[in-house]
Amino acid sequence: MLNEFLQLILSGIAIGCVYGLVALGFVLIYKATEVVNFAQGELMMFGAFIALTMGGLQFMPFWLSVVLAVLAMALIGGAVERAVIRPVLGQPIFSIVMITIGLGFFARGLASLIPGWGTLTHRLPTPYADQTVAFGELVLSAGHLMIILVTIVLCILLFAFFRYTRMGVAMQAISQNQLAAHYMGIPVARVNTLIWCISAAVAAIAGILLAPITFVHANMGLIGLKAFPAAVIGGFGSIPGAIVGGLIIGIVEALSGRYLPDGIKDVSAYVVLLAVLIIRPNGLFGEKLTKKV
Amino acid sequence: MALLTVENLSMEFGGIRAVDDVSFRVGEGEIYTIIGPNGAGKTTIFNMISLIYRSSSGRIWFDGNDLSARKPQDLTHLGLARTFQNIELFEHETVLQNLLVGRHCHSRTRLWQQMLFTPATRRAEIEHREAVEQVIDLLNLQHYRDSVVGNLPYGVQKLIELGRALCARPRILLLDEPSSGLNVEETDDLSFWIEDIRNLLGITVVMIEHDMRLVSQVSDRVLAVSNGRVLAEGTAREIQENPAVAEAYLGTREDVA
Repeated sequence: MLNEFLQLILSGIAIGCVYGLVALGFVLIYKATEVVNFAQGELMMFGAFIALTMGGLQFMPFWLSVVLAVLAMALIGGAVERAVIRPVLGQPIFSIVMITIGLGFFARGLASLIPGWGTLTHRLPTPYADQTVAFGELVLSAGHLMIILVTIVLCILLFAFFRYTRMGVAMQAISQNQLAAHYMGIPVARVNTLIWCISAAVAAIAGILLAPITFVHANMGLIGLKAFPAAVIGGFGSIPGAIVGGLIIGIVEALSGRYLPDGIKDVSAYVVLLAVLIIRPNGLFGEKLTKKV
Repeated sequence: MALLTVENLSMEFGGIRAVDDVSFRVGEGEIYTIIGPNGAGKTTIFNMISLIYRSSSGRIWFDGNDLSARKPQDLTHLGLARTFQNIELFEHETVLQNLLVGRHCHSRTRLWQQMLFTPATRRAEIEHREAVEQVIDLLNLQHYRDSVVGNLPYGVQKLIELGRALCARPRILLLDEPSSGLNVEETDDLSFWIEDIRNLLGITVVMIEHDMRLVSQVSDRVLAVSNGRVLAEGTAREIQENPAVAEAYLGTREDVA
């Protein structure tokens, strides 16, 4: 009994990490540019597909194809910002949100048109597929373990980036006051593009991590619908909040799938979301200071 | 040789001429004040100099550079810093962090050095901190060093914004109504600080100001504008005695009658 419970918690944590990473992408873009990018899940899907295509090339070692896929997604993220988002900045936020939703649909359609991607479900071959790691009585698949480890490393890197680097501090400055940031000598437009690059790269990593578990298909981006509540639970604007929100949803889903009647699992994320918002309307890590109008 | 030259500057919003053919020069080491009734176009002039608005016509030269080819984020690197009428600080951060962001334009170390916090980064950070501490001492902000800016009184926030601009070590400082919202004592302190900024730090100051006592105390020259046009330029005394200026503020005898 206890072992089963712990086992569920562990796999919940692993899936929660993926939710957290996608939520992180939402938060990064929202904090700096106040745009909610509903195509975040589709960025993740594209990252997984690109890794799949590159991995399909015989001469390409797995790890190289992962690195290249992440870099390619960073470029795509930046390109989307330049081509689609920057021209509409300053328009009502509703229009921009609609554009990102449209972008998501467009990306899903595009993926199903690309030869070799299509509407089928693909398996991303990984060197660690089908392996398991045992911790005493508990058994964890290498895929799940990889998700947890990579998420930890990525969080440490992002923390160091935002805390210690000039560029990271510039991003924080922009998120608090764009006008003032200009006069501190920060090239705001260029930094915003870079944020989209980082956000898309994180999404690609999430996609590649998730691929061995849910497989790669054109609709895998719909996981964004679970990651979004994760970001809101965390306070939509807090980076640790996004990860914690993802973990909460991952664990709740895993437990409700086992112990509660059929179908509850799929709504559990939203039940948690409602409960958190009733108790703490700003989310768990929400900022107390409000913006002056 | 003028440090800042504004030539025939005009700005139109739709059919409205907010600024109409304004020209002036500010010499190195001067304290130069722009006055005028509300809606005269003073802040618009500032916003054009700091490139928030692109002028409809005219040119701005700063230290031999034509600013029309530049972007707002280049200004601090050229040596131009400004404050805003309605404070624009990083509200969620402490005073120290706000001032440190003011040093952003002087940061030279590379990304990997910053991630690993190499000795070069460490030395640079210590230098930045020392520069910030000098500003803290100058403006007497020691008490507030670790307070979050959003919770501090308005007058202190105003001062922090001034301090943040100083941290960039600019050659010219644009102050948009530095005394607005300050009480009489704070305004008196401000006049000493503005003189110190010029005399001790050698920074040229251009300000927009309504408080005529402060204007007379510190300004070398004053520019009076009304309805987007230059009314007069001269010492504070000359401006106050200028009939056109009095008319712009108070109206003509016929208006009263």
